Amino acid sequence: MARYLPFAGKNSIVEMNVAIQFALQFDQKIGDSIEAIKAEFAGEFPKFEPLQMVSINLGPQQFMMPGTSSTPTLSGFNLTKPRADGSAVRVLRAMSNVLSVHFLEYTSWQETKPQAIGYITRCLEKLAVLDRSPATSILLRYIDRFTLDGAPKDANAGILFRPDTKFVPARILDRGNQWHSNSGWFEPLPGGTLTLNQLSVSSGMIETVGGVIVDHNSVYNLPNPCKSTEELIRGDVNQLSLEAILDLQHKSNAGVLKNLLQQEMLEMIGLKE
Amino acid sequence: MPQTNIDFRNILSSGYVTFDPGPTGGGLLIVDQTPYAIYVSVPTNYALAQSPTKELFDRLGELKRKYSTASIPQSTLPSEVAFQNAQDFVLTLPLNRILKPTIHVASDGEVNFQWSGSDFQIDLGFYGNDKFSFYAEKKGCDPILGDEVPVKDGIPKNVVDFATAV
Repeated sequence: MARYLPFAGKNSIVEMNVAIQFALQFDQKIGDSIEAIKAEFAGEFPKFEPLQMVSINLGPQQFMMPGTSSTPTLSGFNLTKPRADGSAVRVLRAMSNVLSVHFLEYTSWQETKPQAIGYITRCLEKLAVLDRSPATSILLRYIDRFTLDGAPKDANAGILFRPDTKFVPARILDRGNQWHSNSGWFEPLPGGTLTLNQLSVSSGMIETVGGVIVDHNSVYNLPNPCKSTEELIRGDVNQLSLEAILDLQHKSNAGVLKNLLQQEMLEMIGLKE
Repeated sequence: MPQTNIDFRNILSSGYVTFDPGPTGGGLLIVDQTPYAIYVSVPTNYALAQSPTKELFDRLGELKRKYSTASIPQSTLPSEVAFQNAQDFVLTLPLNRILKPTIHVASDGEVNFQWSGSDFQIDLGFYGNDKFSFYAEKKGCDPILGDEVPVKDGIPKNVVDFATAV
């Protein structure tokens, strides 16, 4: 009989991201901080790549958008901690208007959360970007993968998901190996702040293995844009600290999985209460 | 003002291309952000090429099929429970952190897991009594051994640290 397995032993999480979104895209000024960032994280993220942004306008010259340029400008970076085989195990990235930390060896919230906050704090101190581009949102994203142990023809979402789950439509529960479901909803968190949840659940063959990917992204819109690292990290009378916000988002993600997954799987991944 | 799904569609994307009408309606703007060149990529970093739990389950299934009917002189075949214990043990491993073990069966009926590297060795076995035993050594560290450890307890964290892939 077919069944689903957590992707990596007791872990179903293939990647976890913590990110800060800013009001404006990173500009050339970030280039002034890049050497300091590279030096700051040299021990933890040995691989460094500068990122360039290019805008190309295919329309007539007179319709060129203000501020766009076809000349590459240094406007971000990608720092990678590689495994022995060269694949990424952890990534710290500044691109577009998002500073993100990516964990591909997630073990626990207790272990990972302080590391993520630490990276973000140190990065913001070096970038000194908040005074000209305040932080507007905090993102927490989990991607879980469940591999099918059985023949693809025996795949059935009903084995993995609760029949009464509110997060995927009932019609996919008996539709075999190929389906997907995307949804998004706003949810109030303490303080009346709206948090956008985006949930993408899909099934199919991944390489030669059948499986399901559950991608949940939580976007907490800060009630007031943050203009200092101190304000973002520690919060103030009107705003929760970064840690408190992440805790709420983490709890929200666990709530999604608890409503989505069968008890057997919740037990395997340590979410059964 | 709350942002929409569309606003967030490409958040955390490592590279993306959007096609939007120009501000006057006369142009088609392509915006792309990647390290070096224009391409469209998946929005995250994880690799889909490996399925460590499934690969270990497949290996155990292969050994179970091979040794379920074999008759080898002066040897004991692993029991059904030994294979089940080994599967249950796999589900306690942090396989996104620890290297994958090699799995064999021994002539005394043991289902054996081994991790080895340039400076460490871990040897762990199941006989089908819902328990396992192990011996682990690493250069510069005291050896660690355990006997009659319940399968559900999994491998101790300090032993995992010997074989971490991170």
